[in-house]
Amino acid sequence: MSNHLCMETTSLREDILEALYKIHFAGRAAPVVEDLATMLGKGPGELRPVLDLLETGGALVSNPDGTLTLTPAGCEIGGRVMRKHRILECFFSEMLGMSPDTASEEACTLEHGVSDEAIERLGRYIEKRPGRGAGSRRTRKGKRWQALSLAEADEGDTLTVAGVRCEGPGTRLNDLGLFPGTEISVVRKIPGNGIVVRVKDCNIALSQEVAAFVLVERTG
Amino acid sequence: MKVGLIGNPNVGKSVIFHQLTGVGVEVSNYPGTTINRQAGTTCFQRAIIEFIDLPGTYSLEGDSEEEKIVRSFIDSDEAEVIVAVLDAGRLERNLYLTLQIAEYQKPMIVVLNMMDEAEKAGIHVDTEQLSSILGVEVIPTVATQGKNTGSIIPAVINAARVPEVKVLYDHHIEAAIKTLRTVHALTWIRAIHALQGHSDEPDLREAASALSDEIERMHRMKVSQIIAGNRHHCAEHIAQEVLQFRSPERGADIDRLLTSRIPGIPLLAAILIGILLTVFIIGSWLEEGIVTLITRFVMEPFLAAGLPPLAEQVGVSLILAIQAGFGIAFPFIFTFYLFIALLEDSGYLTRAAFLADRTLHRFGMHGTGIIPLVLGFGCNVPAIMSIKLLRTKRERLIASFLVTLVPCSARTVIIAGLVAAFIGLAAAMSVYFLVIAIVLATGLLLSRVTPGDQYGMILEMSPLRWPTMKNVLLKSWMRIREFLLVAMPLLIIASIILGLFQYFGFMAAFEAFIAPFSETVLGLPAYATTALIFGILRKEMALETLIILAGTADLGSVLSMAQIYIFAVVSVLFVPCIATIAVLRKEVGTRMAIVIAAYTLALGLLAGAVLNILLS
Repeated sequence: MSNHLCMETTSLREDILEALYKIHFAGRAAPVVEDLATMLGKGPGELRPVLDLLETGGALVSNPDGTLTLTPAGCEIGGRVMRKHRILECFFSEMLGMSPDTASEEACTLEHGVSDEAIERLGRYIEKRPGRGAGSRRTRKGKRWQALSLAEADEGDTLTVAGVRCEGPGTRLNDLGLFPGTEISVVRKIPGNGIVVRVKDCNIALSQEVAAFVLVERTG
Repeated sequence: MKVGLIGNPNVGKSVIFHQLTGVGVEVSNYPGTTINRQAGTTCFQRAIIEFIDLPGTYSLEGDSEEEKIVRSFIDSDEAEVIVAVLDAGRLERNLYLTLQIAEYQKPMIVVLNMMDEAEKAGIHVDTEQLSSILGVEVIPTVATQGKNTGSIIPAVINAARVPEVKVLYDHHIEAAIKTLRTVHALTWIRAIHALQGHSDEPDLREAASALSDEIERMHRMKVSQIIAGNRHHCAEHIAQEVLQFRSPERGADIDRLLTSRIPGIPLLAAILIGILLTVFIIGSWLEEGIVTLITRFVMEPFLAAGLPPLAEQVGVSLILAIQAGFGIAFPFIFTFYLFIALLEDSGYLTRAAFLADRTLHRFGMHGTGIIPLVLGFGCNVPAIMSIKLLRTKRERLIASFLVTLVPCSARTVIIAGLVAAFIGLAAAMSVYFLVIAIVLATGLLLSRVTPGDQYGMILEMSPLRWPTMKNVLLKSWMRIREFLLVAMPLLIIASIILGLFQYFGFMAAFEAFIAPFSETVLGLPAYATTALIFGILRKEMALETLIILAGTADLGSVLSMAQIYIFAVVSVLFVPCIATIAVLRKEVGTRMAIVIAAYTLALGLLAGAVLNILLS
């Protein structure tokens, strides 16, 4: 029971820090307890004890006029939680094809439980997608773990499929054997043009935008 | 007894179908040659067996055209036995579909085709082991050489069994199927379809979507993706059991040459232009021979016979029609068909598609669009049927517009028989470049204004093969037969009617009516415009009618060079032939067919008028 309560306060604590962080970075005026309560959908009474805990922990300062501001330490925690939220939300909505609302809700729950390492990996994974941090691949070359979109792979690469988006051509790609875990190799690539991949002994030509549906990891 | 042939695209279903039934169907080396189902019957030990050749498909559960055709075929319980045709060299991917077919629990056999190519690639398949895993008869064949295809029919009759193989699904999926089956009293296959959202009953759909939502929440994956994964794993497992790999026989890597930017792209252009030039040269050479022969040995003796005028008019019309048909159309059209067949059978078309992908994106299509465009050079009708290779409405609409503009072999007859013969090769090529420029401009315009999405290219590369002379000739013959059986009689009848009209003076009346427009706008004599109108029946008839109406095959003596050029450009551009309009109507709807015909009419007349101003 006490453990359960503790979990509850942890997530609420993180939610508060995240909310304050958002307000701070949006450049809005520091909120009072009541504003914060409306934002989080809680009663001010529920927040008070947690806020006191945070203040004694040195994460935030309650000003004489009743407004709340983050300390640098609180800022760091809030930022980290928000980053987790963003990454999870992006993963759910853009890669798993969930609706943005559900994705945000899921992210809200999971952001408190997920480990820093998992988020770090997920973040790198997502950054490799086309149009999102293009070129960042070069800076990471040499690292053991590499995820990228199939559209960015080079001729001769041996790859393992890490994921396929669920909409549109995704189903056809699944049927052809492009499925998480499948080993594929890039037979031919003309930059700016399509790509030919070898999947289960068959050569399949894909347009660039179709190749972007497939996430891969370099394995050879 | 009805038997359905089902398999992945380009595994040789149509070859097997042709061998079993003797029915002539088109066989090529690119995925998606068979577009609609074909039926043919054969007799074996006094039993009549009807075989159905179905379009190739990768799955039975998507919503693409071919998947729907094949699914509704199996669902309808039409077939008593299903023959699953597999490519031995791509067994694992082919098994994915076979496992889906097996779930229908119908009597089936498996034909393992292309055993020769698999062996060459160093792949050995243990067919007995495969047979015992699947629980059905497995027949290894090399259909193109007719090897062992004779055992298919006896196996269909005597050895078709309900398969035993079962895919192990994720336990959440299995549980959901069980729930659906108990609550709604469904067959296993209906339940798994319902779970993936394929169901007509609202109640069932709701129950299934509640279950699938739950599974999707747990797995963070779509149900169809989980199911596809389970099937792939099962196929992989079976493939591991039955396949042995040796090192393959290594040949020169021609594919690298064909699919690299250099020399691939220049090669693509060279191949297309080379085909045009060769057809021109061979065609003109044959034409000259045939026309001279008919003039010397038929026309001249006939005219010398001194028959009464009416009989002579009818006779001359008849001879002119035969001369025009055989002498002009046949050499060009047949030669073109030969080259198109070579391209289709070599597997080069899929390479061309890969190379052209980026360029075709600019015109609102993708690489696959090159297949209808190249086929269009042969005949627009099958080319428009093949736009089904493109998935979205937008891509199909753009393709149908552009294919209609591509100068088909009938239009090549006009360009070659008229422009090349009376003006010169350079002028003839300039007509092509003009038309291709118009095609490109139209594509650019359409890609801007056509609504809808782009699907992008997902095209399996077909293996490179030497085309067999037999299939190339057979296919070209099948296509030219249509010309001989349909177009020639039409041409002869039209020619005689025109001759009679001329004799009785009807023609003069019509020409007097059309003359003002014809002479002022296009700068053509009235009879030439009449000939243009006949071109709507069949494109090459514009030229043949022109010869009949001019009363001579030596058109250079009655028309100026400018007039010849204008006639050729207008007839190439304006209004597709009736057959093309009919197939357009079927594929893109009446409204779009009218729009396309009107657009080409406007283009043709505009080009004619502009050229008339420029050249006179």
